[in-house]
Order: sequence, then structure tokens, then C-alpha cells
Amino acid sequence: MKNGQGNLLSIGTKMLILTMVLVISSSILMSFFAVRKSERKIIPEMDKKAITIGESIDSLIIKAVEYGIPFDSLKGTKEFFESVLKDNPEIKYIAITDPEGNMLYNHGANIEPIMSFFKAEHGKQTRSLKKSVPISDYYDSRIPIVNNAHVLGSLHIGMDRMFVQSKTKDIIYDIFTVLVVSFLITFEILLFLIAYTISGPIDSIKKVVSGAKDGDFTQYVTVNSRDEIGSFVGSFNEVIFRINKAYHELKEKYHGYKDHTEGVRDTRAIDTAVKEIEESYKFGDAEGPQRFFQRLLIYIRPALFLVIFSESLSLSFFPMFVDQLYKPVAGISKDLIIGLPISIFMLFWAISLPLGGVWSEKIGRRKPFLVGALTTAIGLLLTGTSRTVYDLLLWRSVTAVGYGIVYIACQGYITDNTTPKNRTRGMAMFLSGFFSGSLCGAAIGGILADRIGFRPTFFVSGGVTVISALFVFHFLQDYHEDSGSARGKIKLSHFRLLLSNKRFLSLTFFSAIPAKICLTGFLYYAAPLYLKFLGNSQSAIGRVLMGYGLAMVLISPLTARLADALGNRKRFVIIGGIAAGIALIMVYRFQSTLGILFSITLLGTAHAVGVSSQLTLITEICKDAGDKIGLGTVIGIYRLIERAGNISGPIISGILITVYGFSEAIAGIGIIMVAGSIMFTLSFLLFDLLDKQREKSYVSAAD
Amino acid sequence: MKKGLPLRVRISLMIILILAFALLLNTFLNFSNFEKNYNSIIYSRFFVIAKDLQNTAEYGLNLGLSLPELENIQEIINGVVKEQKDIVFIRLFNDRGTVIFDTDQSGRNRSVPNGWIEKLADMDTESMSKSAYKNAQVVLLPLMNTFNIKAGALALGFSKSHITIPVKEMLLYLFRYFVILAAVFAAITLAGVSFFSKNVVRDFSIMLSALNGHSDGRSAPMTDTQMQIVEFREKSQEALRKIEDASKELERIDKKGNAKNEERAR
Repeated sequence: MKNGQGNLLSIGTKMLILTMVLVISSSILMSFFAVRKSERKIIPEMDKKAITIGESIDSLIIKAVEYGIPFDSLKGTKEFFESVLKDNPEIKYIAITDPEGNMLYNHGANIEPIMSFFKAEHGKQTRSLKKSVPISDYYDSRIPIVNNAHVLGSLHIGMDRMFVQSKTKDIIYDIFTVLVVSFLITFEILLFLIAYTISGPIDSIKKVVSGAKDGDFTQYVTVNSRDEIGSFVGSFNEVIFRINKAYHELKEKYHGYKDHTEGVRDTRAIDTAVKEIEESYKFGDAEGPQRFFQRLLIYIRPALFLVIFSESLSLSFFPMFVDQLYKPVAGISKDLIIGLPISIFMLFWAISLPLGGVWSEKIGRRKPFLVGALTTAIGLLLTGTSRTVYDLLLWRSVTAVGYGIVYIACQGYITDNTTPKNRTRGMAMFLSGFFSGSLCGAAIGGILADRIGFRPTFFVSGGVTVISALFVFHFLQDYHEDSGSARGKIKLSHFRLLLSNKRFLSLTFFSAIPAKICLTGFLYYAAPLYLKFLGNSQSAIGRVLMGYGLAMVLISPLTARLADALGNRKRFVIIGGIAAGIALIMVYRFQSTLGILFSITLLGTAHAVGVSSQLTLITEICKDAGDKIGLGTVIGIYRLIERAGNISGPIISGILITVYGFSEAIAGIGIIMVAGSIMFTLSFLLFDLLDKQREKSYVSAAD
Repeated sequence: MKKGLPLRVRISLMIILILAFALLLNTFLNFSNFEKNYNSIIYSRFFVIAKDLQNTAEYGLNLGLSLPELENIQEIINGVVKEQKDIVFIRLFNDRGTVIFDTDQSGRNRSVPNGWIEKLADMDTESMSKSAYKNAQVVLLPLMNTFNIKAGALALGFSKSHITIPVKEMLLYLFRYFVILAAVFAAITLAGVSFFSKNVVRDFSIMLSALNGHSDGRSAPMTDTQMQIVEFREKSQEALRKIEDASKELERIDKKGNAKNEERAR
């Protein structure tokens, strides 16, 4: 299907471009209409406010004049006007003119360019006091200062003409975030949609037709639609079923005939004809042809995306939520307690992974995903109802167990549906779905928390997780519940074997665990708290945290390709480790939101460079162990030990914050990372040197 | 995924869902932004009025007068309410929550809601509190005497509808535009998807024609799969023909055998 394939490959891209153009243009139009209407509603209210302020100032001036202070010699006007401007940021200037329009007092923006207007206004009686007049960048409201029917002058209050637009700017970042998230969601959904409706069925058709054209009529294609593809498949299946039916009717008649005439009649001619048919073609058994299963990796991705998205909705505010529930506990610092739910979550997640893995190996992936997703949903809903830190710890544990089962079921699904050859691609797809979901969740969670609050955002999270379960229930129901690829159980001897590998130890303890400490200790715990401390809104915190996921999604594929081309994964691990450490140390130098954004993005970049290479390096340095106990077991044990970093990250961070404060604590974690990377580099150099010396001594002994 | 819908409609529906999601989020953001700003501008106007009254009252308190001794206050608050039609009430109450001055003079000596007293307890010199009371939004400001001790507070209530009506209007306005934009963009989506998916639809119609043995009169070169479909049709027809032939042969020899048996029996 050369031409057809060409069309199919481009149709996804075309749909993606079309959707994005439509999403962006509709969002721009909606914002335009909203701003226009906001202006119409807000400007008259601003006029009213200007008049109110004007009347307040006017009464004070009149009072001063009544006390006998000359109108042109009022003292302290500058300080007074300054305080009014401070309380009302939309007011840009306050000015008092004499009856001829000459300036007496003014404060605020430079109004030299509009002085001529004030003079021109002199003597105008027609102007409504209730309505401002647009002049240059301002809406000017004029209030005559009158004492005993004698006009002393005029008070002018200038409101910022761009006030409504500037207020709209506040949500421009949010709208931009929504567009980025829409793009990623569009990408996820379209990827699935095209696979489900077009490329998947076509692949099935191609596979079944390539057999059927040579006379293999044992399979038919399943398509759950009656569109153009569905009607073609319907006609195709009809032919397959007709042939099978005709064959089985013939076979029935033939056997009936043979039973009645065995040894009585000469059946050679018909025997030959039936034999020829059976040799030329393949038919399904008596129950009919078999259904052809097209198992696509992409079928699991939207579900994974939704679960990660829902869990990440609380990423930007979770420490602040714990802070709200905090009650002092003797002997434990507040910062440590705030980090505890994250550590407990990581602990239960780590425990649920091997258990969930064994379970899903036994009963297939669909059921564990459904159970895991529903458990996560219940956990998230109940998290939203927590009243104490203890409630929270309980419900986060429940969430973590569900989340762990979903995570491992998805990984298992990918293992089941890939071969060793394309497994890396499958895992890259898994990671890309994971980080897309994570960054979208963090960003949207911040926006939601700002507007509807923390607890309702948890309820939304629970709802989204239920949708992912429904998705799997609907779209993965046609698959066999098989046991997937067999994987051995992890035994204590496997741990002993790996822990005796010095390079494995060095990589795990000096690189992998510190990397996870950076992730949970900084990104999940310290960063949201510090950003809040710097005065950021939840939306802004979500946007800043998004930097990590964006860097991972955008840079991971590039570094993976580069690492494949260059080899030497060790170098990538070292560079990534040191860069991650520097990213965190920089927070100490640049203690601002922009500094944190830069650090988080650099951390994402560093992890994209280093963390993905760690796994490949493990497979290289544990090749012998992999041959003995299986590479899956090696990676499983590595992942399990690595999670000590996930668990300890918030605890270490909490202790450091208690003792030193935010920026010092974050820099401290950075120092741990850099120190780890240096130790990793030195240990590998030493191991290489020792190996070379040993080789030399073997060679000289052999000589 | 409903059965029976053409491919272009199914894809369009999904894209429209994404579009509606993005548009809905955008509408929500714009609405909440308006609500926040409108609320803030309205509150700040009434805050200016309340602040003026607070200054006047505190001026008297700083002269050593007690709250009930500020006799001119009643006249001032009556004047303010007369000028500002949106104000529902202005109340000055002491630190125990007893109303000293009220625009509705029959309200004097009554107690204010407990919530106000609790809020007053948490307030310092510079703070302002916002709350809702019956059909009014309330601006609450503390009244401090010379020794910076709370003598009471000032509550200014303005009509809730002053905020709720414009906010509701805005919501309806945005909803209307959401529906209009969603409808317009849904139509564009349908047109765009129909345009972009026409090749796939055409390919399948050729494949269906090939499967059914109909030529649609086009001389375009066939794709690999289309050629395989033609081969499949030929193979399936050949198989059916062979099965049919074998069936006929079976019937024929069966009949022939039966006829022989009958002859023998005769």
C-alpha cells in the first residue's frame, strides 16, 4: 500500500496542524471578545471610582480652604496624592489646575504632553462629570473644585487606558499554557485516533489480506465502525465467512457421503477434489475463521497520559496543601512533616511496583490497569477530603498503590507488545506519554487550584483517572488476557549478584539515587514551596514546574539519538549529573522566580541527558548478570534501589530547609548531586585502571 | 465511536471535542479573570468611601471622643448613602459588636453578626475585610483610637447585585460566544477533515470496488494493497468455484449411485 501509506503518514500531521490552527485561532477570538466586553463593563466602573476618589480629595481641599489655607499654597499634596496612587494602581496621575487650566499641583505620570488639554477644558461646563474623556494613554475625569459657589479650579484624575488590557495580560500566560497543553493533548488524542480509526485497521487489513490472497482464509478483521473502512472490512469478512461456510458445508456433505458409501462406491474423484481444495487453501475450524488481533502500543498511551495527568494536577500545590493541614508534632520540624506525604507516596509506589508487576504478569494488563486506576481515583478523591496530615498520609498511600499498579501494568503492556528490537522505542513512547501527562497536569493543576481551590482540584484529578479507566475498559476489552512475557521472580541471590558488581553500585548510589533526590526533594517538594514563598500564584508555579517536563519531552529524543550515535553512555551520565547539580546550586545565586525556572528547565535537560543514559549503561555494565538472571530482573532491582532516592528526597530537603532555609537547602541537594557525579567519575576511572592492570598482569603471567 | 458515522465525521467529532475543551478552558480563564478584576474595582470604589468615613471617625476618636460621642457621624453617613445609591447600609459598631450608628436608625443598639466581630478581632490598622451579608457585600474597616486600640469597626454594605448582575451577564455573553465559536469552528473542522481525509476515503472506495469486482472507470495505478485485494478476490472466487464444483460433483455421484442402487433393486 505504497501510495495509501504515504497518505496515511501525512494525514496525522495534517490533522494535527489543522487542529492546532483551529485551537489557536478560536482561543484568540474568544479572548478578543472577552476583553472587548470586559472593557465595556469595567471602564464605567473605573469612571465611578475616579469620581469617588476625586470627591474625597475635593472635600479635603475644600476643608483646607475653609480653614483659611490659600488654594494655591496647599502643603503636603504630593505625599497625599502619592498615597492615593499607591492604593489605586489603575490611577496614573492626579492633578489640580487653577480656573484657567494652569497646573498647580500634580503627581504621578508625566502629564506635560496633555497640559494643553487641561487649558482647553477650562471653562467647559458641558462635560459630564460622570464620564471620563480619553486623552493620550489615559481616561481623564475632571471634578470642579467649588467653594461657596466660587470655582477654585479643577481636579483631574487620570486612569490607565490600558488597565483592562494589562489585566488581560495577567491571563495571557495562562492562555498560552492552555494552548501548550491543548497541543500536547491534541497530539496524544490524534495519535490514538489515527491509529484506532485508520492506520490500525489498515495494518490489520494488510496483514490478513496478504495471507488471504494466497488462499489463507483462517482470519477475519475486526473494525468497530461502519464508516468507509468499516464497510470495506464488512465486505471482506463476508467473503471470508462465505468461503468458510461453503467449505464446511462441503466437508459435512462429503463426510456424510463417505459414511454411507464406505467400501460400496468409488469415491476417488471426490476424494481428490476435496484434497485439492484442502491443500490449496486454509480454512478456519468448524467454529469459523479466527478474529485477527491488532495490538498497538498506542492503545495504552492515552490512558497512561490521563492517569499521569490527573496525578500531576496537584504537583504545583501539594506542599502548600500539606501546609494547610499541618499541626505541630513534638520533635519533628514543620518542613519535614510537609515533605512526609511525598516520601510516603514514593515508598508505597515503590512497594506496589514489584507486587503489581507479579499480579499483572499473572492475569494480564487490562484488569490491573482498571483496578489501579480506580484505586488511584478513590485515593485522589479522598485526598481532597483530608482534614489532618494523618488522613492525608493514608489517602496518599492508597493513591500511590493504585498509581504503582497502573504504572507497572502500562510498562508490562509495552513489554508484551514489543520485541527486544523495538522495546527501546516502546519505552521512549511510554516516557514521552509520562512526561507529557506530567507537564500538562502540573500546568493545568496550577490554573485550576488558583480558581477553584486545592480540594476541588483533587476531585477533578479523581474524575480524570476514572475517565482513563473507562478508556481502558472500552478500548482494551478486545484483547486476550494473556500472561505477557514471562519474567522471573526477583530473589535475594539476584540482589547479592548485582551488589557485588562495583560499577552497578557506583552508578546506582552515586548517580541514580542522587538524581531521584533532586527530582522529589527539589522539583516535587522544595520548588513549589519556594516559588510560593517568592509570591507566585499557583498558576505561575504550575507553569514554572512545566519547564522540567517540557525539557524532558523535547530534549530526551535528541539526546537518545546522540547517545546512540556517539556511544559512551558514561559520559552522558556524568555530564547530566553535574549539570543537574549545577542547576540546583544556581538557585542560591539567582533567588528569583526566573532563576528557579531556569534551574528547573536545566534540571529537566540534565535528566534528559543523564537519566535515560543510566539505564543503557546498566545493561552494558551488568551484561554478565543479565545473561544469568535476565536483563529484566537487573533493571527491576536497579529501579527498586533507585527509588530510595525518591523516598529520601523530600526528607533530606525538609531537614535542609529547616536548618538552612530554601535556597541553601536546594543548593545543598545540588552539592550532593555534584559530589555523587564526581565520585561516580572517579570510581569508574579507578575500576577501569584496576581492570587494565589486572589484564596486564594476566597477559604477563600468560607470557 | 458511534457505529455508522463516516470516517470524516468520526475524526471531526474528536477534533471538535479537543477544540471545545481548549475553548472551554479559555472561556473559564477569561471569565474568572473578569470576575476577579470586576470584583476588585467595585470593592476598591466602596473601600475609598469607607476609608473616608474611617478617617473622619478616627479623627474624632483621636481627639479623645468615644464612639457614641461622634455625633456628626450619623449626618455624614446619611449624606453618603443619599449620594451613593448603591450603598445598602453603613454601620459603626463598638468592639463588642453593638451598633452605635446605622443608616437605618432603628438598627442602633442591635448586635452585628458574630462573623464581623471575629473578623474585627483578626484585623490590624491597615487591614480591610470583605464578606457577604444577606443581599449585600460588606467592606469592614477597623476604627482605632489614639492608643491604637480597636474602638470598633465600620461596615459598609453595597448591593450584591452590583457585582452579581454584571458577572452573570458576562458569563452569558462568554457562553454565547463559546457556543457560536464552537459551532463555527466545528463546521470548519468538518470541512478541513473532509478535505484532508478524502484520499483515504477514495483509497477505500477503490479497494471496495476491487473487492466487489466493480471497476469505477478510473485508470489510476493501484497501490500494493489494492492489488492484493484484486488477487484476494480472484483467489476467493477460485476457491468458491472449486468448492461449488466439488459439491456438484458430490451431488452428481450421489445421485448416480442412488440411481444405480434403484436399478439394481428393480
